[in-house]
Amino acid sequence: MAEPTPLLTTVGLTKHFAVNKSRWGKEIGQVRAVDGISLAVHSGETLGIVGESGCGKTTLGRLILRLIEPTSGQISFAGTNISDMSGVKMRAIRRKIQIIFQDPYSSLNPRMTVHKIVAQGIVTHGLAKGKAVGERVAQLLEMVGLPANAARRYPHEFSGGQRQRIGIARALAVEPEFIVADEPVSALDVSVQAQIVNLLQDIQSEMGLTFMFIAHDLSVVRHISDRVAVMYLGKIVELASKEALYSDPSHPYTRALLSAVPVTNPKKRRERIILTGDIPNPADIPSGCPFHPRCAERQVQCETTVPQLTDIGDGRQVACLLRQPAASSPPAKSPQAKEEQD
Amino acid sequence: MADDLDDGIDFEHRSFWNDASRRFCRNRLAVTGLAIVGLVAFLAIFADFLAPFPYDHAYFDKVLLEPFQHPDHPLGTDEVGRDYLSRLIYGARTSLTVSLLVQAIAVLIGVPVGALSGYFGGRLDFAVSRVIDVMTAFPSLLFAILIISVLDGGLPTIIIALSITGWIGIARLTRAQFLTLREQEYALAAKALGVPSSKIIFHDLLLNALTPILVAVSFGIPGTIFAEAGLSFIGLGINDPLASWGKMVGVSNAYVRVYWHLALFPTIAIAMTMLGFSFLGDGLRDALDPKYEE
Repeated sequence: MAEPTPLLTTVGLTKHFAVNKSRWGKEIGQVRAVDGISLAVHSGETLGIVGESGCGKTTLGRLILRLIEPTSGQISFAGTNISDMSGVKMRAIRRKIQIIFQDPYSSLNPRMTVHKIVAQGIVTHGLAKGKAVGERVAQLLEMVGLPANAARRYPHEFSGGQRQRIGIARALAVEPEFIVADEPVSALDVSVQAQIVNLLQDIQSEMGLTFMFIAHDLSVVRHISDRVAVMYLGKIVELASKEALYSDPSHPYTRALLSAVPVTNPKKRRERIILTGDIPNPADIPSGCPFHPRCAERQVQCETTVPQLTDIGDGRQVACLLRQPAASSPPAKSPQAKEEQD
Repeated sequence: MADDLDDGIDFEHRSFWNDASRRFCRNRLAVTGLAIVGLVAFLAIFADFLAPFPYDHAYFDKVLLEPFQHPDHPLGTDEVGRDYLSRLIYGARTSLTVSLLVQAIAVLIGVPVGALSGYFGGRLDFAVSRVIDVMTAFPSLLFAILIISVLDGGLPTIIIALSITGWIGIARLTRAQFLTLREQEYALAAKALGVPSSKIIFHDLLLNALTPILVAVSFGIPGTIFAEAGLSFIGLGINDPLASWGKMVGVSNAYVRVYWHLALFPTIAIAMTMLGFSFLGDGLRDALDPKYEE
């Protein structure tokens, strides 16, 4: 497929957190929060990232914004490698990539008025001066559905949904191209969730934004995403278009996840795949396929061979030894050959 | 924190500081503390007009007058004939000068050191933490005595000596604050917006760390007053002819069986001032804690 350069790509993005026990910083182990993730997000699309808690979704989002530094791997934005960028150049990139946080309570500074919170980006990047700052803030607040007089209030005077709107206004203030939405609705009531999701979609079509939408709620992701990546223990196990993933999940983990989504029609029963056990300790990841201890279809080879994310056609990528492209008999070919090219 | 962002905004709604001042005013002990501190500050600032005599003028013909006997010298005179009331009033100036300067230096050193160490972590934090550990292990009064014996006595020396240990507590407190604040999502949001680290630390996050620092300072002031009084009492503090409550108690030791008032009045002054600041500190701590309700 001859597509233009993706807006954002990561190659082998990895973040290992050291687990220190002794006071002198001796490393006794490491948590592989994000383990060699390579993906591409195209301009104007929404890529959903789903997975259980602790699978590294949030860490991935923060790595892309360079809020934390990766252990290894590379991040490119609009064709430019931003992994080693610093100073003024990085500041300019920061304007283009923004984030919406999960917790509307800890994501707004309690000692700053809404005006200050929303205006901070505008002032930092010199996007407006003097009176124009106030006008721009009023415009942004209106865009996210808040009254203009909200500007002089403090965050604690607002409800969770309203606070999330303030967080969205803050992200939009710098006119970004790419927004990482890190579980933006997980902390909200269901009725409010729908409002916020609709708001995000409206804004996306209005401003032509590209989203990475991180969530653990499969129905929300289905509603908003174009493509969906499923993460397990810091790795992507399946990446496919929304339609393909939801109608015909390939990876056993994806199947189990989808079978857990409640169905509204009580007559329509379907087979429920129950996963046994918990997510393994990310500091002690199982050998071979990280999912094999919980997998219903596991084979002997799964305990020793690490599956690579492989293109199996239709722009679909799966990391499972049992879902290799038909003819290829050796389970994993050269591990570098199959980066993303959908 | 007036800066360009505040333009044209009126704060008529209940802000944090509105609430805090309302809670403070409802607390009788806190208001009493504030009144005592205000009185001491008033005496210290206007000592030149309030004191009937200069603090250093000795009337050798009126040595050791009894209090309440002489209209000119309502609290009597000391062993070289200086008016005791005047010296008490000037003593307030010494106490407040020392304690406020020491706390100011403690804040100026402790807050940046603690904030940078807590926010950035890593090697810097490791180094700062070890310095704090070592400094905490010294008894601060002994450390001050050591410095004074090296540098000579006098007001500036005392301030330096007490500051050297004074910033440790503030730095440790600020560091602990920033360790939690840097993990807050609003700190990450500011970083994602491209706000420079210095602005995140010394504006965005400092606003949130201010309360405990303010309370620590209000408790640090009586501590410093007492430390200065203690050093002056053992003769290592303020030099003659400057008036210091601690020194007045110390010198009067020799005469205390007969001229009891020489020890009593400055002791009352020290006690009242410390009580005032402690009430004020308690009141501030309760008023600045939004969860505190009577």
